[in-house]
Amino acid sequence: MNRYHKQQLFAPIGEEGQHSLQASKVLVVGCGALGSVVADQLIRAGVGLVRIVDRDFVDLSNLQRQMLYDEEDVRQQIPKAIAASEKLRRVNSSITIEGIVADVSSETMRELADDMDLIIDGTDNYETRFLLNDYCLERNIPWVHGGCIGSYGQVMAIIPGKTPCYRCVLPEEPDPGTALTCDTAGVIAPAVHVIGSLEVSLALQILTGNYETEKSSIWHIDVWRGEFRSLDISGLKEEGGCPACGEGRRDWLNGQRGARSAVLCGRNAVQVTPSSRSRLSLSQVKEDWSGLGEVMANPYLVKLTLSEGISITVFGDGRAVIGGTEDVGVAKSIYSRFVGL
Amino acid sequence: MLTVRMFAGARDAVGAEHVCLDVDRALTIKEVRSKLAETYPQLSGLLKSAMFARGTTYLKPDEIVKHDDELSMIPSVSGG
Repeated sequence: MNRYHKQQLFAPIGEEGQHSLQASKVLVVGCGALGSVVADQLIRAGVGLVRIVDRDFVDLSNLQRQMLYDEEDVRQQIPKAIAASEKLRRVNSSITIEGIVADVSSETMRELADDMDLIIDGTDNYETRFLLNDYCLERNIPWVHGGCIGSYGQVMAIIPGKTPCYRCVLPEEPDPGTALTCDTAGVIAPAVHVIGSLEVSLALQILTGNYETEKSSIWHIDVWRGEFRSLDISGLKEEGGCPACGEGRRDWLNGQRGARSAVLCGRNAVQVTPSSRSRLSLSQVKEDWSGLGEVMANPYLVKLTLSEGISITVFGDGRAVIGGTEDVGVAKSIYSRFVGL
Repeated sequence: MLTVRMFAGARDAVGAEHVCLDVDRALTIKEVRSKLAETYPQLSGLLKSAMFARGTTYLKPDEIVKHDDELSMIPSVSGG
């Protein structure tokens, strides 16, 4: 019995499409809520090689929506990339599944994504997405963007040279502390599953040669209200003028933009400095953090102490010190979750 | 009156399905953004990364809209 029989019966995929999937290599960047859904469906669909990269470990507040993890992973504080790949190998042993614990940055991007046919967005921050966008334009690799929060989210496919890119749609990176994050504004599992599934639908279309680049669009979905809107963005490409896909700038890939981080030796802490120079509203941060842990504030800083022994202290210039870790990836993840990158 | 329908976080921020801006001339999307930020300061954070659309068409920052158009403001999201 062919395990992909039902999928092959679906005419747009068929036997030929299945062969294409088996010959494909896909990178999943970030394996939290979206990444879990994406990785699970990709390996079940028989994509030949699925590489999962994540910088974080599993914690209790993940279990409400991150479907690959369980309480044992929380007890053992297993890195997500490891927990995910081990679980998924039990589902499909006939393909290659790689789990890599790493921070995707301008230094590591090329090595982690080398030789991939497609990249899928499972990240939780803007700056990694701008980095993926730069890399994919540079190497002419398609990627699928997905993001969600609360009960809604957005999805789009980027085919370099054929469709508008992520920066066409989002010309400016939001200032730190102004964008909502799942940790401060919340998110429900149905939103994550719908958005992750739509990302995989686009991925399957691209990998099997079914994606129609002329109809480029960005989808917005609200699963609570049952709203689905598709915005036509094909006009953006013809107009040009995009710094990334039009002028060829690679600000994130060449390290000009993006947060800088430094391990504070002997303090078990990492300093994260966002690239944007705008000031942060400390009173807003204090309000956003209420109820998330112990919050301490004075006119210069706000500190949040989380139950796992991790703390984040943010200053008015957007800089933060993440205490309780010397791992740069974990520190950037905490910053993304509680301030936003 | 320019009508801006609010979606997702923008709707939560203003507490309404749509807002009306009192304008008597055509504006660019960039101007619509500043006007919204002025009238609804609670939107200023979301505005920088929000998308604007008329019907199902995405509107670029220099796109011109009429004083009685109906637009949508859709904040982009970064969670995952």
